[in-house]
This record gives sequence, C-alpha cells and structure tokens, in this order.
Amino acid sequence: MTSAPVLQPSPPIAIPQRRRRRVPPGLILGLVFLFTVFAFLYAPLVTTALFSLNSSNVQTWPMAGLTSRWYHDLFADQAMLQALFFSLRVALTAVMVSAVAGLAFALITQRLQFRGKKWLDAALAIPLVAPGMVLGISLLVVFNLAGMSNGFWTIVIGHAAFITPLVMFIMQQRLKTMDPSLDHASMDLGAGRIRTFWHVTLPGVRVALLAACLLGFVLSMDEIAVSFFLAGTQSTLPVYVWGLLRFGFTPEVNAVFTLIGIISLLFISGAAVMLFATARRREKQVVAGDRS
Amino acid sequence: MTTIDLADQPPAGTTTEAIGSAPPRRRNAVAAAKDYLKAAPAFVWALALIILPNFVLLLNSLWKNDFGTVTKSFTLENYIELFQSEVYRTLFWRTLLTALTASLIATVIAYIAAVVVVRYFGRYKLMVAILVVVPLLISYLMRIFAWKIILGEHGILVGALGDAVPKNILYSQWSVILTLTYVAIPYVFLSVFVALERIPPHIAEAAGDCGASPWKTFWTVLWPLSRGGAAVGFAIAFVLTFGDYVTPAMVGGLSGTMLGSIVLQEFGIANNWPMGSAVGVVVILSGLVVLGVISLFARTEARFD
Repeated sequence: MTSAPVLQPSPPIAIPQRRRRRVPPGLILGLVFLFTVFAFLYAPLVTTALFSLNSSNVQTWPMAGLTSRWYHDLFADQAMLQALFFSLRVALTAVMVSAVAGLAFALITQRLQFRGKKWLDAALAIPLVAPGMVLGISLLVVFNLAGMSNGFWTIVIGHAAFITPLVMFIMQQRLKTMDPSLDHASMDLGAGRIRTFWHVTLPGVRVALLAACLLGFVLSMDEIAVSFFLAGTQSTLPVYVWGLLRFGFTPEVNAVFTLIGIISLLFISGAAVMLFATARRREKQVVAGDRS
Repeated sequence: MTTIDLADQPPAGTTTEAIGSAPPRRRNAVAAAKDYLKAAPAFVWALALIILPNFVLLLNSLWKNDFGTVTKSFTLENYIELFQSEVYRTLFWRTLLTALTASLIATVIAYIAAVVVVRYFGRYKLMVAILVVVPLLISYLMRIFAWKIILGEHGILVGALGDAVPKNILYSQWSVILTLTYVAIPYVFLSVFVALERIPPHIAEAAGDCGASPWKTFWTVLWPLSRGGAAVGFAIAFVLTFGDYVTPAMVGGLSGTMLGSIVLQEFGIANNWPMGSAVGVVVILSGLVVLGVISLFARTEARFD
C-alpha cells in the first residue's frame, strides 16, 4: 500500500513524467483494502436495516420477503415505546448535565493555571476509554454503599460520567483557538463575569458545544454496558432490547435499531458539519489575523 | 471585582501557548490557591465519579461473601479463589489471548487503512476518516447482534459463500475475536490517523528528495513517527475488548465466555458482588499493566518538533 512514490523525485526530467502517467499500484491496492475495511465496518449496519424488512421472524439468509410489519408492530409495542421514552429522558438529562460540566471543566483546564492539570485531564477521561463494565460496576457499588437504589438518576450519572469528558475535549479544542483577550476586553469595558460569559465566551463556543451535545446524545441513546448495571425497574431501550435478544427475540428489534441508527446518522452528520464549519471559520480568522 | 480577576489571569495570549508547560511567571500563593478553588468542581467530579468508585470497588473485592450476605470484614478469599480455581485461570488466559489477538489484528488493519487514507485522500481524508469512525457511534448492541445474523449457521456468510465457510463459526472463540476486532478497528484508526495527520508532509517529501524509496521512507520516517499512535490505539483496543461482556454474551456461546461474562454473572444471577468486584479489579489491573508496557514502547517514539 505504501510502495507508491511518496512524491515525484525531481532530478531527471524523463522519469517523473513516466511515473505520473502510470497509476501507482499502491493506490489500487490501498483502495481495495480500504473498500474491504469499509465493507467490514458497515456490514452489520446494512444487515440490521435489511433484516428489519424481512417478513420471516427467523433471522436466516436468504430472507423470506419484504414487509413493513415490524415497524407497525414497533409503534404498537407499549413496553418498547416506554423504554424508548425513558432512554430519551435519560439522554437529554445526561447531555444537559454534561454540557454544563464539560464546558466548565474545559474552561477550568484551559483558562486557569494550576499543577496537576494533566492528571485531572487523564482522570476525567477514564470513563471514555475504560470498558463500560468497569464504570458500571464501580458506580453500582458506590450507589449501593450510599443507599441509592438504581433508577433514573443512577443511569444519568453513569452516562454523564462518559459524556462529560467528550464535551470537555471538544470544548478544549475550541477554546484553544479562542483568544482569551476577548474576555478581558469585555471585562475591561465593564461587563461582569456572568455577562462576559454569556455575551462573549458562550457565543464563541456555541456551535461546537451543540455538536458535542449531539454526539453525547447519540452515545447515551445507544449505551448498554454501563446502563445494564445501573438500570432499575424501568430499563433504557438498549437494556430492554438486550433482554429481548436473549429471551424472546422479535424482529421489531431490527426495526427500532434501524430507526435509531438513521437518527444517529443524521445527528452525527449534523455535528460533523457544525464542527467543520467552526473549524473553517477559525482558519479564516487566523489567516485574517496574520495579515493584519 | 473585575480588576482583581484580571490581575490573576495571565497576560493575553499566553494561556494558549503555555498549555502543559510551567506557568510563564511566578505567582504568589494566594493566586495559586484561588485557581485551585475555582478548579475545585473538576477535582470533585473526578474524585466522586472516578477515584472513589474504583476505590470502593477495590474495597468490595476484599469483603467476605457468605451465601449472598456480604460481611464487611477484610479477606483475600476472593482473590485466592480466583487464582486457585482452574476455571478462572483458564478464563483469564482465554480472555487475555482473545483481547490481544483482536487488538493486534485491529491495529494492523486500522494502521494500513489510516496510511491509505492519509496518503491518497488529500483534502477528503478527514471525511473518509469520519466514515471509518461513524459505526462506532451507532448502537453497539445492534452491531454485535448483526454479527450473529451474519455468522450464524444459516447466516448471510454461509448463504453467500456456501460450503466455503465452516458452519460453526458462531458461538466459538473465533466469532468473538472477529467481532471484537470489528469493535476495535475504529478506535485504533482514530488514534493512528491523528498521529499520521500530525506529521508534516514535507518530512516525507524530504526523505523522497534525498533518494529514499517509498518503502524506506515509510520505515525510517513515517513508522517511527506514528507508531506511538498505533501503540496508544492498541492499548485502548485491548482495554476495551478485555473488559467486554456484550460480545461474548451475544456471539460467544459457552466456548467464548470471557472475564466480563463472569462479572455480569456475579453481579446478576450469582449475586456475589465481592467476587464480581474482584474480577473487575483483575480486569482493571490487566488494563493498567498493558497500558504501562505500551507507554514504555510509545516513549521511544521519535520526535519531529
């Protein structure tokens, strides 16, 4: 894959010309490889979408026929809908908590000076890279010790624990490119700290914050490993589906996953577009700043 | 109010440059204490949600369990049972082998993919990279379950390739390795992509100008500069796959059981939290050991700035 020329060497003139005409074999090999990887990565997503339309309720290939029955059933399934709404409530609450905490922590680590910042960053990031099981059982034993029984808030806390570092990192990247002297100017002009935050700092990070929230929301809606240990009598959608998958499968599962997958894709593309847009505007600002 | 605030902030522009390095000027103890006070929420959060829970988990693993009732007297019984029991030992080695194999395969695939993307996709590389990472954000459970449909005895793979594939892939260690590899690829890709992205293109160009073949350029320039990213990606992949319980539960069957499945069992049906906590601690420690080894490897990374 890497055997293609990294750059056309300049010395003799005849050779680079001949090279330019030939398609580098590395390119073809590389593209084939990448295509295979993409096929591998997207196969499960396509499979689920495909089988959500399968008219047989046995999950075997070839499919029996096409039907939209599972989607109809889905919207009549009270237990499933209840779990879905519970998941939505959890995700919204967790994202709100994480938005505030993540932005605050990003400001703390970017704008203040103190020792141990690296350790703080690393500690806060642990839930994002540790297996969900570890976060789940460690929070479970703490809640148990504190006498809290599992329910809405335990799941919210569990989700906020890993969404907050995500928001924090996106905010940190954004804040790094923002000039703190804007805040100082605002305060010089007599605005208090709250007004400065509201009128100067927040508008600067607004779009990136929204993007981070969208990603956090998607993560929360799909989370299983942590929620499994922290869910009480009412389970979130993935936990409910987990139960279905093991005892009493229904193809509605494929339908609900397909719908959530589509919504997730929309949210992710929305977030990606927003982050791109702010990044581009930032570049323009930097260029303009260099010229002046 | 405002003037004091301004006084203890660093001069404009320095914050961005001074990240990770020492403060640009010596400040008095009062100002430092004030910053710590303002940073307190973050410390409290880290303490309450990360450090305390792990500590309590460790405590739990040292408590005694008598048929479902937990007495808070310290004992090493759980760990002794873990190390002496043939079942747990087998499970540990199997989990280790599975996680290492899956992470290694994922690292190789993701590394090559990242090199291809960075090398050939020019201004579209970020878009392609996002496409690799997107499946990561789509329901974990759904992706794992779909593998069951694909690999099953009457699954898509058998349906498409006929007798070329063995019919009993599902519910074996192989299906677990395959699925975990699948799970790990985007993580490693992300890590390697970021590392490769950071290498200024003129470094590779310079090597080419000096007459190095593309292959040599890769091994002497790009690989030393990006293997740190590969190492970090591998570590993340290992930690995540080592502690997974969803995959073994979905596609593992009996022969694909892993340590995570045991934790699930002990916290669930078996209702033996101390034992479950002990296994959890073993999972955490194994992850830390691998991270430690990896960080030694990543430290030898060459620098370009």
